[in-house]
Amino acid sequence: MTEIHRDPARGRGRAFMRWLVAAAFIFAVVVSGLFSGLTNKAGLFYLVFGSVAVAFMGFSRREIGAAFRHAAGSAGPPEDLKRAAYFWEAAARNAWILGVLGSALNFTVVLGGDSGGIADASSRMIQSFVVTLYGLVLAVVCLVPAMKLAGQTEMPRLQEKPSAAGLSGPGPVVPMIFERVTGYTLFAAVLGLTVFFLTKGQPPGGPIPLATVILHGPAILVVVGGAIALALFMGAGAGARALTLGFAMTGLVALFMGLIQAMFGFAHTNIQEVSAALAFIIAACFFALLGLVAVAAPLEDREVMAGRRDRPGPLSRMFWVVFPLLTFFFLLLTLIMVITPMKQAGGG
Amino acid sequence: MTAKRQESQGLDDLLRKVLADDLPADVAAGMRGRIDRFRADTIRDDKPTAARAWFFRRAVWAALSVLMLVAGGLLQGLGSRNRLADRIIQMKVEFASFESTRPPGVTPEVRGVSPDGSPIIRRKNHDRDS
Repeated sequence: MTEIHRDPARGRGRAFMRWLVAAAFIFAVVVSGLFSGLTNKAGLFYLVFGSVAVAFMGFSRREIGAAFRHAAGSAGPPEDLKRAAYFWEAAARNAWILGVLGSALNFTVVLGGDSGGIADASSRMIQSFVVTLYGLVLAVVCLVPAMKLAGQTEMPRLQEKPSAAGLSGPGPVVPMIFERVTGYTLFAAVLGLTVFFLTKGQPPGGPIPLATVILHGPAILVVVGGAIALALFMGAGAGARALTLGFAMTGLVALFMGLIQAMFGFAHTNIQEVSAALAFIIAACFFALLGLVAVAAPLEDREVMAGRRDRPGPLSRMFWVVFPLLTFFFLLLTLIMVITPMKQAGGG
Repeated sequence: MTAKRQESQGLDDLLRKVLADDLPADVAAGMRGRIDRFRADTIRDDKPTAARAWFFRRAVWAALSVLMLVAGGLLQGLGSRNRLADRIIQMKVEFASFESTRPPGVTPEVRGVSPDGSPIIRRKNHDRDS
């Protein structure tokens, strides 16, 4: 096995300097207050810890540690570097999806909570989009080591089944129970704490009303039911790709269903129909993204890291980029439709 | 250990005793491998219980998923009440009343406060810009 040789001390020193300069730059920007309007502490907390949680859902501690070591300039065989590159690519994907998911969650909390007037509600709704911006920035940061590591090696396609969890050579299948339990528990805690931080300043509505806002029955039924049906239709051979496709396709269908219903509502000047459609769009976005990031993506990561597949499916990769982007535009559209004045007529 | 496995063990021992000198090493190794695979398959076949088999039956999941999909579509189509939709109605009415009560020519500067307390200044002055 060929190993890529470099001067390890020099490489680590250069990597450290790069990270130091980047950290100093970010610190200077934050301290300058130039983008104080773009501050969303709850969103930042959610994104950073949410990314850590999702990483644990799909990767073992050993794999995460190796990915960090290689990103810091540690040498290794091409297989290890390729896996490390895949970890960083997956981290970028998670950051992007989590960013849009955070916007949807923030948006739901703002709409569902008791607002302090139009001005406050509007500013909070616009603030929710800042989380997507954070996600995008974090995705770019994670893509840097991914591209660097991928460029360092020209690894041939894995023809034979490689080791299960060890980053090189044959090895036993590493049990992922600890990582998975940690990942899902941490993710649930992060979601709960984020909602708590977002609702902290608002008049008390209690946790039960907020749960009734987030748990939108029809959207859950359509997204979960559709995803399972599509996954079953594609069969066991498709593996985790079936779930990615299932959640993304069902989410898309739900978004367009909601949009068409909203347009009919505007045509009939029926405020109730429009509102029901908007609620459906937001909730469907939320649950489809949640399914993608917490169920489908970690399973697909496991397939790649365990060597069952060479790489994620091209359709999965496309949906990981396109679906959150579409969701972002639909949330923007929803914001516009919410603030567009409408006289109550017909049903309203 | 089950009675079936005890019987297999006894048969194995008997075969080993009878054929101890006759089998070459590679044939013995091959046989051992086949016997182990056969045992593993038999043990695996015994494992799933009826409930587990029912749970993993594709038809059950297929029916359940289609039922969920149809129920979701119907609930949405029939306009079931939802708190989020109620809040959106409330917000839209607030926006509509704000627009209708705003005197013509007034371009309000809305000063909002973000969740963390940082100021956000937004100007809603379409008229002035145009």
